[in-house]
Amino acid sequence: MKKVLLLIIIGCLLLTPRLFSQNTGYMGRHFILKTDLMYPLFSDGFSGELEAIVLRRLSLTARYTNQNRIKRLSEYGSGNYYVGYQEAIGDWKVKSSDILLGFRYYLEPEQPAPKGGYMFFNYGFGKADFSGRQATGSGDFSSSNSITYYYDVSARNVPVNQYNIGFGYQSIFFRRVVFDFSISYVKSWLSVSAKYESELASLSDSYGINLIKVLGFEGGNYVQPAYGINLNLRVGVLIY
Amino acid sequence: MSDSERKAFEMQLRYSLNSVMKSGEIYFNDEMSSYINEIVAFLLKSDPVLRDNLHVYATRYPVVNARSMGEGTLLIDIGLIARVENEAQLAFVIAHEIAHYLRDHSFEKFKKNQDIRNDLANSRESESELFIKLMRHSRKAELQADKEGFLMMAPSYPPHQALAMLALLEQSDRNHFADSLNYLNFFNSTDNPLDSMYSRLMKKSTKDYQAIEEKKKGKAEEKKDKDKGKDKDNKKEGRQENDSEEGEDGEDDDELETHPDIDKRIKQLTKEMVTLIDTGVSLYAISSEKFDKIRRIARFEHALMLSENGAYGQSLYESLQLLDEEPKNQFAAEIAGKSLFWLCLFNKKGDIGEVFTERSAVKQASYDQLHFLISKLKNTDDGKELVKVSALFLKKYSAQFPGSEDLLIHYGRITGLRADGKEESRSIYRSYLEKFPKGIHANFASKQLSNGE
Amino acid sequence: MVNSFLKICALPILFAFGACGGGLMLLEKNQQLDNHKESIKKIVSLSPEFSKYKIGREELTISHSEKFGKRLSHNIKKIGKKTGLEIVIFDDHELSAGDVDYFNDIIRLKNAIRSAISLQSVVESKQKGKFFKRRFSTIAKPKVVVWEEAPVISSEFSYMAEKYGTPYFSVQGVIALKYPNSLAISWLIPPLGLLSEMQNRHATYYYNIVVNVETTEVIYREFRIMYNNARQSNIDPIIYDSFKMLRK
Repeated sequence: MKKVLLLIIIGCLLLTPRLFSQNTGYMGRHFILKTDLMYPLFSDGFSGELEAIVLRRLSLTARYTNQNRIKRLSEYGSGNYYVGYQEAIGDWKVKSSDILLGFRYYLEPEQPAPKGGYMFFNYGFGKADFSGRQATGSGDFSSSNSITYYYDVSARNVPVNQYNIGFGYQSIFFRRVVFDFSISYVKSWLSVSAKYESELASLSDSYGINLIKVLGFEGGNYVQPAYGINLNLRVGVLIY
Repeated sequence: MSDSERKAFEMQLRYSLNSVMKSGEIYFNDEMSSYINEIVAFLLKSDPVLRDNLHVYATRYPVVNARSMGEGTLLIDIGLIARVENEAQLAFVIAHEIAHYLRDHSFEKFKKNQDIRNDLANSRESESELFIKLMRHSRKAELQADKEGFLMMAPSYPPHQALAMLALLEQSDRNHFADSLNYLNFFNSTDNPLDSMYSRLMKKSTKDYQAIEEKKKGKAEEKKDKDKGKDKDNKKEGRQENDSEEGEDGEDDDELETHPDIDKRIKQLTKEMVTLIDTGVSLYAISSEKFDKIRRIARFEHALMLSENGAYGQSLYESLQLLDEEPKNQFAAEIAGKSLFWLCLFNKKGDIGEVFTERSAVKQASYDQLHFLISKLKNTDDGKELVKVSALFLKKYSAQFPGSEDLLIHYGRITGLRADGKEESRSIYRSYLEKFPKGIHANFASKQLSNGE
Repeated sequence: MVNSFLKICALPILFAFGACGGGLMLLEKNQQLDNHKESIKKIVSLSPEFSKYKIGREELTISHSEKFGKRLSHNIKKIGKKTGLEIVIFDDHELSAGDVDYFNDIIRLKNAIRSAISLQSVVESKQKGKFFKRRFSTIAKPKVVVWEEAPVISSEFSYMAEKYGTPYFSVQGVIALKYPNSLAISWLIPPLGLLSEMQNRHATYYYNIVVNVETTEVIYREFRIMYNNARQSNIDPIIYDSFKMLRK
């Protein structure tokens, strides 16, 4: 069902730019193919995006991201000294792929999309594979009476969702080359079954370069949404 | 002077010159410029090198002015050519501009401008103070150019004509026509007699005009008394009277005018003239017939340029004056007709204030009377009276000049401004197309007819 | 958590808001053009101008104006072709002694258009049911003001329709302004400084006025302010968009 929906959306993306005569695009071009430079640098991954200018100041975006990250958790889990239940610790490998669909509203009246400042909203859904170490035991870790057991856990195809809302600015150089900088507020969450709930409690993550994390604030604790302020720098090319 | 300042000046000069030359405001290969160049050749017959460095043109600017661009290009405005009374006065103006060129006054002014801009950036003085400083600096240059221009012109022409020229500049807001025009000759008709309205209006306007003149006289005398008092105070404090070099004497009332301080300039030249004897040289070194012809061309062009620049009140006034002087002149009738059409159009749009200037534009009673008449007509019956009178004028003169495309097409256009005039204007366009199938307005007339169908 | 969140958000949000130039677009047409009763295929462009000014130090950067002026003329022609408009340009960059048409026709018409635009006001059309369309720029269309009464010029130029093969003549140009950098403090926060450098120091104005010499009416007028550098990649899409708006 989701695949059908995706195909319909992509079909619309391809058709609609030509339907509205006031939509001139950039010199008659309505499609941009972009990649996010942050992903290969910080997530050992890849992000590719197709933007289609559908109305004079509106464009639709479809993005595919693929990340391989190491999620570092403390030896004490998420800072809780009491390990009275199963909890993820140490380095977890997170491999995720997501599709984000969204739109952009361009703010500058004197030039049509895709140039200038914009506001955007994306909604993403994807799957993630987690593998890592889990600790279990009783009592306080610092107590000499505590016993800790470690074992490996992996969870595959965990549904992940996110949405981004933010602002950005897109410039075009040499008539084809696109630079797109944006900043957004991100909320993401896992949809986990009860089996993996406690292990994955700390693994909900915000995607991209998260300023909150950089500045030392953690987001998310139990199976709750994670928050972030993400920066994105995309480079692309104007096509057809 | 520094090299970089000179370079910056030359760059700006080249840009200004380029803009002016391509602006469409310069006459090329015309009789006026050629006549002016003959005067230049005459003045500089002993200095052919200087003569070759100069390029003199007449311009379309309808103002009483002339300027030296700085690299040898001199521009004489058509307003000035239309105003001068004889060749000697024109020669003085040309000599004055040549003196500016020889003294490099343009560069001096540029440098002063830069200094003032720096002062403004550093906020040492206010903008208006700095502007006045610039004006004073310009005045020094003018006095110097007057003196040197006079010495250049005096051997070949009667010297007192230089003074006459300066006096003419002082009166540049009055024009050269006689101050009595009976507008009934143009606008009265059996279809729409204006006699009684006009005579009432003229009485009122003359009365009002006299009142304004009296008021001005009173103000001028008040000012004189005030200045006398100031001079006495200045003398007491040991300051120089009429310190024209420094401009510090407080007589700054006309600082912002096009030709400020004419009195001082006249006084300076009078001093110079004391040593010179009028040797009885002619007012015309080239030709009086040529001068008359050139001035006549300039006067017609001046009226046309006023209409092209949107000064329809003044262009109407001048063209009627020309028509009064030469009743069989089609060109004058065309300018008048065009001006009337545009006045009616602007009145209909509610924009007449943009193109119909206040009474003080031309300080003559006859202009005031025209202003009163047009004001009365435009305010009567929501402007319909003005359209009616203008249409009758155009009808009369298009019949008088059957070969005139302009008069006929404007008659058609003005008739179209009336709510009930569409059919009539269409028939006028048809008759235009019959008479002038390849005329300059033919496409317009055809389009009007096809739009109406 | 919320306070920290807000503190962190405030800076990037300010940063992002700085990305928005806040330009202006004013588009006006006469009724014939708006109702598609007029269709423009060829336009004669009367000496397009490019002026570049630096405010605060020198008054005018002259050499750039000439260079960009030539490039502007070239680009207008090229972009016109892309949009399906045939643009014929008469400019003053390479005038010869035989170019009397420039002085007799082109410059006179250009001055007449400028005079009409500056002296005559316009009367907006009060079309029923189009309140929103006429007053606001939407996501799909720009705001368009339709004239009931347009500025007019003299009919003495109507012969030019036959002479140049089209009744449509335009006056267009670009004015580029550069302001002194008064936001030096913004460089303490590099992203803001960078954005300030990109945005607030430049203003580019584009104008396009089209007249139909047969009807003597000004049929189209457009004015845009863009707070961007007057680079080719910024001006060209504006011209492209302008020509597209003209045809639609």
